[in-house]
Amino acid sequence: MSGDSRTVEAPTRVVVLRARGFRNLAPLTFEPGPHFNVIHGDNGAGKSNLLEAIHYLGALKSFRGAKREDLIGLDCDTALLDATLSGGAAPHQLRIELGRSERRRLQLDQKRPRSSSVWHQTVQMVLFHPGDLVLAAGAPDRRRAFLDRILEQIDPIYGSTLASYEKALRSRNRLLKEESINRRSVRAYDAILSKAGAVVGTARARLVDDLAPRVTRAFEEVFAGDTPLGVRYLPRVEPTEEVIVQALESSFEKDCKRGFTADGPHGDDVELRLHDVGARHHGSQGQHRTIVLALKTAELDLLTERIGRVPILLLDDVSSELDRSRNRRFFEVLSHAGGQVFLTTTHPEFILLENDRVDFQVEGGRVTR
Amino acid sequence: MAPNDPIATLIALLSRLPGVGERTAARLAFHVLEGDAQYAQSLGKALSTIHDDVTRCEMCGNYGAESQCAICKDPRRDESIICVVAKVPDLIALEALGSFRGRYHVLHGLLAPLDGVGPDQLPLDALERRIREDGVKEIIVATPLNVEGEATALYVADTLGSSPVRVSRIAAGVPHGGELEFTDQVTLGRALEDRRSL
Ligand SMILES: Nc1ncnc2c1ncn2[C@@H]1O[C@H](COP(=O)(O)OP(=O)(O)OP(=O)(O)O)[C@@H](O)[C@H]1O
Ligand SMILES: [Mg+2]
Ligand SMILES: [Zn+2]
Repeated sequence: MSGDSRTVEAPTRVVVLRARGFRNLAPLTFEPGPHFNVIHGDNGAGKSNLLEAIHYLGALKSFRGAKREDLIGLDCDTALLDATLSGGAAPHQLRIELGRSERRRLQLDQKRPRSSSVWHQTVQMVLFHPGDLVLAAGAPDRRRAFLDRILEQIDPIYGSTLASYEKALRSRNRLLKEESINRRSVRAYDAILSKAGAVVGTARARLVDDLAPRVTRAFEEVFAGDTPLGVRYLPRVEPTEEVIVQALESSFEKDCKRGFTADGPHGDDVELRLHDVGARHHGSQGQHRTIVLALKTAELDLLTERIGRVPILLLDDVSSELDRSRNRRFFEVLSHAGGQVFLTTTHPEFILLENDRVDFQVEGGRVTR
Repeated sequence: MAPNDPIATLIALLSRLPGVGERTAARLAFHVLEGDAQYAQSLGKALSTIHDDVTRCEMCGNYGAESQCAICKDPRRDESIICVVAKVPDLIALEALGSFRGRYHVLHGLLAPLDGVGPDQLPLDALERRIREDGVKEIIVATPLNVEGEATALYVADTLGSSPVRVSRIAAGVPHGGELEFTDQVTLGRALEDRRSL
């Protein structure tokens, strides 16, 4: 991929992670290697928990959709993650404290960050886990979430704009469910939705324009996809302020009847086409896997280019998803990218890597090298 | 814990304050207990009389000792221009600038359908009445620049659309999603100057 390496900065990497009271993990000081870190152990040992802790450092949420209480060890009151990262302008110190009743406490370099956007601009990661198959086979919201997660890491105002959009949408939908609907109250949200919606929709459409050729290339060249893959942003309405506000205005009556807002970027999708049929409903399982790999490879490539350094890559139990030749190809791409990689597996011998590799064993929540 | 343990009672009461957890409440309680008894008495007296000594101004909703607040009573304040704010701390932040010479209208809330707050719970009729009766020419909506603040501003502008007043909104010099109370003075001053019409 962009192997000519326009990157100027050293890859982001975890130098040390201390975890306490997180899931089933025993108090932990984890010092991973700079390249491949193979985390192995039996089913239920805590491999994904360790990966989830690393991923939380960047995403500030669980990739398995777990609530905060679920992340705290069963007999603990708080979970604490404390990590030193290198790469970029300076090393960073991250500290996250999750309590059962109190608010989450975040510290970036000993200070409370001004917004979550500051955090996302500091720590970038790409995650690939078995649940990602829904990117090809699942509903549109999964593909939108894929775009949103990339954008919040490269665009400093995207996250807060999206949050405003979603809040305004929930508010408008609530008003539409009321018995007697106040037109003026609803209209107050139309202006917010069209303004924020234009920003969200435009950012996503531009991202897909940039992502699409990379996905297509990865699909064909790297993973030897047998047919050409087409990728396109499919907006429900054109993402401009005027068009969205017009759409909201003209579908007001219908929105009242159905009790929710139909038009806007919350209805957008990313179209994936193999030959001339939609991949979502027509692709085989193997094709879906390959599409997801291509999406992830493109994501890594694009993030690297946009932020000027290679993000941390997390792979949960991925090699079991791929056949041998695709598995090998994938690791070639990753080796070439040169970033720090964490991957979990029950079978470390299946990880086809000889060099730059450190193995960790997880047993009953205990991590040893 | 004993049923009538005065320390436990104090801690429990303090921990109901916003941003005060169990631990902070305990620290405060022991600070008061181990410190000057005079201070504890003054604090207690101030707390016990605050609801009787302070009322909402019947004109603007600001807090004061009488039925009309100091700002509404001040004849030097320009009654043709009203600044609409969400809460009294926002009024205080604007007053600290010293540059605004008009009067205020405190909503004591913002539109928030998700929390069940609709236009009927806001004193908007009172605002319209003031406009009709007091010769108001301009309304500046200085609600926060987050979803609730924007929605309220747009609603107010829409409501006043048919009346002859000019309605403007403080400019987006305030951080995205920002609360006025926490906005620094320079930013707030500029936001007030650069207001745009709604
Ligand atoms: N909050 C928690 N406190 C204590 N233990 C927990 C908590 N949440 C999950 N666990 C335990 O963690 C274990 C699961 O760990 P994890 O998902 O990391 O397994 P894994 O090593 O990835 O296994 P697999 O190979 O099956 O994916 C389970 O035994 C579960 O009971
Ligand atoms: Mg697992
Ligand atoms: Zn008053």
